[in-house]
Amino acid sequence: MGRRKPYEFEADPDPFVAIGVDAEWTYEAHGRNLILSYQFALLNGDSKAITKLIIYPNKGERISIEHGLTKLMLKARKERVIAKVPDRFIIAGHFTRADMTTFSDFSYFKRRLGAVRKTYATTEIPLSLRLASNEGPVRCSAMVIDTMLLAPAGTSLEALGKLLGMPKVELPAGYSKDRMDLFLRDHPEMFEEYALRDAVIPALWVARVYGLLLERLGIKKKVVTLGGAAVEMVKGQGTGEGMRN
Amino acid sequence: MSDLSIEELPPGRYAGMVEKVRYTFTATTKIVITYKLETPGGTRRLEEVFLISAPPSSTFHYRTTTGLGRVADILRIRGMSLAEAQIAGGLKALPGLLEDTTLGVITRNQRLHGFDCPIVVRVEKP
Repeated sequence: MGRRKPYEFEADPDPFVAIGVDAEWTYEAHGRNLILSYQFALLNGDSKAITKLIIYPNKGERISIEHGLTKLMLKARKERVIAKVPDRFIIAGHFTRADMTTFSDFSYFKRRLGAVRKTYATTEIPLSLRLASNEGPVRCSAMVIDTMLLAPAGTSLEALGKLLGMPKVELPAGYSKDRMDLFLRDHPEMFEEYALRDAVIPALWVARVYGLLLERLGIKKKVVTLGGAAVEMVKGQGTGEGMRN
Repeated sequence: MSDLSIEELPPGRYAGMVEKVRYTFTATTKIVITYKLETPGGTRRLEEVFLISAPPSSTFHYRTTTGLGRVADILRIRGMSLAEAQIAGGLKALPGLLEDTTLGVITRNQRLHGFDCPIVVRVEKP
């Protein structure tokens, strides 16, 4: 059953929007990494259209998550992937503990993140974000989901990419994840392709998993872990058998 | 990526109208007012979201004054008061009462995450 509408003037529902987030960096000094790029991929779950955005910070200066998402929304609207900034959406990453901490405002929003199996995900109240748009400031709420928690333990992003039919771009011989700055310097176009792919895969994976959970198992809740999906199933079956939750 | 910026709207007074009014309902009620403005660069739309109803026990209750104040301002332009709108049907009647009201909209820019984001300062008679 759909969400109850008090009456006809209620806001129109938004499409399912999943935003893949990733960042590339290199070691700068003890306890500090130099951010090379931020990547975002916005997936409209209804139309399956995707907008990709890569932001190269000026001299490694970190951006806020709201700055990055504002730019992504502007691009997505320009490319007609979304009609307006959605009121709620999902931020997905593979090992969010590494990616979310690269944002300059991490210290402000970290209290809204829960620690689940040594990574970060929204377990209680979603992030409340205020994004800039051509129509003025827009307040929206975002759930942070780690795709590591929505896949069997130890599944790599590469494996998820293969399952989705979108394999991760391989680093050429002579380059390593530790020195991505060299890869960016020597092969900027390949770097962009590599980096953006890492943001697209989590967005697609979240949409795929939630789609399967809804279609095959009838689970509507946006669960944070696969274990959570099992709990929802037991709850559903228990209710069906006449048991109380 | 310099093209990814907010369309500039110089601060000032623009002729406009209330194009659309809708609500979002949770424990509180928010009103979303969409203004259509005629600017030198063409037609622009600005949106405002206000809290207009919250339980008295809620810490957000005091914030409803801003939203009700803006609704009262628009109603005043139409020659009505909040009390009259309440008699006319309250929340259900408000969209019909507010939409299509022609007014003057005073805007300014607010710096938000590195962008000049246009916001409505106040509304007044056209």
